[in-house]
Amino acid sequence: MNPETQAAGYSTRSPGPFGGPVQANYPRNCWWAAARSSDIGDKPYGCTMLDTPVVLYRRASDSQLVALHDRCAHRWAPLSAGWVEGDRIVCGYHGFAYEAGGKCVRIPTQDSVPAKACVRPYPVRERYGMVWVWLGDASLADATEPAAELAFITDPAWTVVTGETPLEANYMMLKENVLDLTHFGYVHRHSIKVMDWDRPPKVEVGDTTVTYVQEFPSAPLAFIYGVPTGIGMERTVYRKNWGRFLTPSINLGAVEIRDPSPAPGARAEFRFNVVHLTTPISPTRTRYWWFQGWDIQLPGEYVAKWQPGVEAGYAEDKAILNEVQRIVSLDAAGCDYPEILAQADQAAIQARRKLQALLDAERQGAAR
Amino acid sequence: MRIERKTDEAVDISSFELVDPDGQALPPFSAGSHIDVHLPDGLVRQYSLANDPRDTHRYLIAVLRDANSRGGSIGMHALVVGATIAISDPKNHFALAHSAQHSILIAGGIGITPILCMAERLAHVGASFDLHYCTRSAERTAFSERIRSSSYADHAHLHHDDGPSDQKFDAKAAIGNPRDDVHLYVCGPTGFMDWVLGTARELGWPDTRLHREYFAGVATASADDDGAFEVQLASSGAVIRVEPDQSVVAALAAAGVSVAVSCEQGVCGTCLTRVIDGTPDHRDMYLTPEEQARCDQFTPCCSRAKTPRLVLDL
Repeated sequence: MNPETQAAGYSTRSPGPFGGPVQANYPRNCWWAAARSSDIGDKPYGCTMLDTPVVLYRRASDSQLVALHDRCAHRWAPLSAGWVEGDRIVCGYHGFAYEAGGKCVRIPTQDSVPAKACVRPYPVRERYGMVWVWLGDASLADATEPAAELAFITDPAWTVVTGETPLEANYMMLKENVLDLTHFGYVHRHSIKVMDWDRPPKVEVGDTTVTYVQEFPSAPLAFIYGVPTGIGMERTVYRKNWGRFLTPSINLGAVEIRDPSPAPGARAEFRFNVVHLTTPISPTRTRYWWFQGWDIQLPGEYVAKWQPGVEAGYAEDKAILNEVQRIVSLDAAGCDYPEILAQADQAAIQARRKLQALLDAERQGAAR
Repeated sequence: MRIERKTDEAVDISSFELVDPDGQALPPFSAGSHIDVHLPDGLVRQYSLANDPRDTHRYLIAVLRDANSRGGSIGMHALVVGATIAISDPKNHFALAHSAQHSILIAGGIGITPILCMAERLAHVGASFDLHYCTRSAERTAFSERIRSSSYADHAHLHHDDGPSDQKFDAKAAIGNPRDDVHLYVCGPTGFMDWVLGTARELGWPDTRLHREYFAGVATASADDDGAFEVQLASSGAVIRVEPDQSVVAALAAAGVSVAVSCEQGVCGTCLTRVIDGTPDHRDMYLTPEEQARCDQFTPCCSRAKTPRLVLDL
C-alpha cells in the first residue's frame, strides 16, 4: 500500500499548517525579513526568527549591518540586551565583546580568549527598506538576492503604505490566505468590499513560483480601487488581479486596471502592488510586514485615510488566522478527518508543493 | 423562484424558465450574465441567462445533463415545473465591450446560453456581429430553431462535428486577423475555449479583445465519452471494474478498498496513488504536466485510464 495514500489526513505529505503536530515548515536557505532598516539605530536589535534568536547592529565605522546569533557564548545571555561599542557588540551580563564576524575579542576579567568563544554570524542585506537575514548554509546566500520585484517600495513614482501585523499563526496560513482572495467577500465584506471574487482563479505553476490570475473583464471597481484611480465606482473597467508565491518569505499581489474609455488626457492604465513579507518566529507565531502601493502620486489626505483602512483590513485577516491556528493547535495529535480543499485552494496546494520541494532539498543537502 | 416551464431543447439539454412566485419583476441583467442556482441538495451552480435582457419577469437557463457531473446537472434535470429554488441576483463576468465595431461570438455546445443572449442584445441595438455555434450533432443543438427564425439568422453559422465538411468550423477563418475595435467572445467546454483563444492569439489577437466565460472553465472531466476500465490491486491481485459514470475511488470503495480523499476533484493530491502498469488519463490540477507525463501516479478521485487496465500500488 502506498504510504502516502494511507496517511491519515493531509499534513504528513504537506508542509501546510493543517493537521498533525505543528512543525517547523520553513526552509533556512532563504532571505527572510528580520526588521525594517529604520529599526536599527545605534542600539542592538534582537528578534526571533525561525526559532533562532538573532541580534542586528550597525558598525560605527561604516554603518554596515551585522547579524549574529543572539546568544553570548559565555552564559547565553542575549547580546541584544547589551550595547554597541564602535564596531563591536558587548554583552550586558559580563562584558564579553564580539567583533562583527562573531568572534569574541575581549573577556574583561582575563587576558586570554578561548578559541571557541564565538557566536555564529549570518549573511545580512539591506534592500527596499528591509533587513534580510540568511539563516541557512552561508555558502548559498550569495547565489540569490532579496527579490527585485520589491523595488517599487522605494520608488518615488509610487505611493506606498506599509505596516506590521504580528500573527499568532503559522506563516503559511497567511501565505495561503493571500493566495485565495475568495475570502474577500466574507472576511472583508464590511471593509474592503471587493465582492466579486466568487469563482476560483486560474493557477500558473513556475519552477519555484505559483501564480493565480483572476480577470474581471468588465466590472465596476470597489472604492479601494475606484477612488485612487479617479475612475470611481460606477463605470465598468477591465481588471486583472494576480498574486504569486515568490519565495517562502515573499508573496506578491497586483491589480492591473485598464479603463476602456478614459476621459481626454486621463490615464487609462493603473497598477496596484501588494507585498506580504512573513517571517516565522516559531511554528505558530509570525512576523508579518505588508506593503501596498499605487503607481500614482496620491495626495496626503488620501494616504491619511488609506493607511488606517489597510491596517483594519489586515487586522481582519489576523483575527481569523489566529482563531484558525487556535483550533488547529487544539488537534495537535492529528485530525481524525482530513482538511477539505476546494478548487479555490489550487494555488495554496501548489505553493505547499513548492515549499515541500525546498524543504526536501535542504534536508538532502544537510544529509550529504 | 418558481420553475414556470421546462423544455427539452436538445438531447440531454433542458431549459428552465424561472419566475418570481408572486409575479414580481426580477432584477435586471445584461447580456453575458449568470446566476448562482442553489439546488435542493445544497450544491450551488452557475448558469448563464439565455433570454433577452429586455425580459423583466423571467430568467431562462439551459442545463446539459452530464452523467459524470458532480451532481449539479443531474439535480437540475430532476426538478419539475412548479418546484421552487433559490438563486442569486444576476452577475456579469462576461460583459459585452460597448465600443466594439464588430463582435465575433463563438459557442461550443451548452456554451450557447450567454452567447445567445449577447447575439440578441447586439441584434437589438443594430450592432454588427457573427455567431458561430459548434455542436457535436444537430440533435444536440439547443435553441437551433430560435436562431434560425431570428432577425440575425444570416449572421449565424451552425457547425456540427458529424456534418459535411463544408460546414465544419474553421476557427482561423472565423476569427480572422485582429482588427481594432473587433472583440471576440467564447463560451463552451474548457478545451474548446482554450483552442479558440489559442487560435486567436496565434493570429495576433491581444488579450484585451478576447473574452471568455470563466465559471465553466474548471478543468474537471468532460465525461461524454468516458468508458469503463479495470484497476488491479498490486497487493492482492484483485481486479475491480470502473464503470463509465463511476470514479476509481468510488469503484474501490464499493469493493471495500478505502483511499483517503479530500477535494474529490483533482485539486489537492490527497488521493495520489502510484501506477505500476497501464496509462492513466489525467484529469487533475495537482500534478505538473511533467509529472503527468511520467504516468507513474495519478489521482483516482477524478482521473481515468487510457489503457483497459491500470495496476495500482494498493
